Amino acid sequence: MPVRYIRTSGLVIKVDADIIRKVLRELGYSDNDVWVSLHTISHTLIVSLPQIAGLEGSDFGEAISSNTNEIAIYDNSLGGLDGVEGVVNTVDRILVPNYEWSVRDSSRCPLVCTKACKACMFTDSCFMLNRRLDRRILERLGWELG
Amino acid sequence: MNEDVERKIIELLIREKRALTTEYICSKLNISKSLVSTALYSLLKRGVKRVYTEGYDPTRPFDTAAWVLRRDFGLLKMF
Repeated sequence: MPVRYIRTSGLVIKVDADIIRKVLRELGYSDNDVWVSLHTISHTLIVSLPQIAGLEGSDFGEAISSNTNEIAIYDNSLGGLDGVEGVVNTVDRILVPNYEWSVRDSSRCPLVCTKACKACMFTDSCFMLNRRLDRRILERLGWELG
Repeated sequence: MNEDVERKIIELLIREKRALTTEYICSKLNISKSLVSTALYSLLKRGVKRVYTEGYDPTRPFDTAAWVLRRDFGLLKMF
């Protein structure tokens, strides 16, 4: 499998595997489908970035490790573009509110699609062709806003 | 701390009787956006509704969103 090394800025998120497995079981997935949830969470973080950071979708990348249940969202450019850095408050170690609310809204599809579509979860920067996404996982996680 | 912020937001919404943007709430109460964000997220489930006014900017979805009390607010036990 081809490997790519890049020195850049980004955000690494570790997901609680127990909570994820519980949600997957509720939706009829098996424990081996953790990747679907990691990919979905990764997309909620990446689809909002262009609008909030003012950059192109292709300026960001995603990486998923199902062994460690970690997601990395990064500036897809050597040395970084201040894209991801612009949506994280590095002092308090929190997401800036505009980005956080945008991320939370991304689980809501304006077309009310069944799992994922161009209107909600798809992004041009997905190297996995936007496959195996399911926004119902986010709803079950209590991600959505009222 | 958070309950205190929530109470102040509710009091402000009752007093002003109109939709208030996040930026207005923050400046009026002199509270940081991150604290107001946490409080409003909690209040969304307990009596406050998010509305979109002419000033809404999707690139600043939190700053420019506006907030009002839900119709059933008086029926809910807040604190």
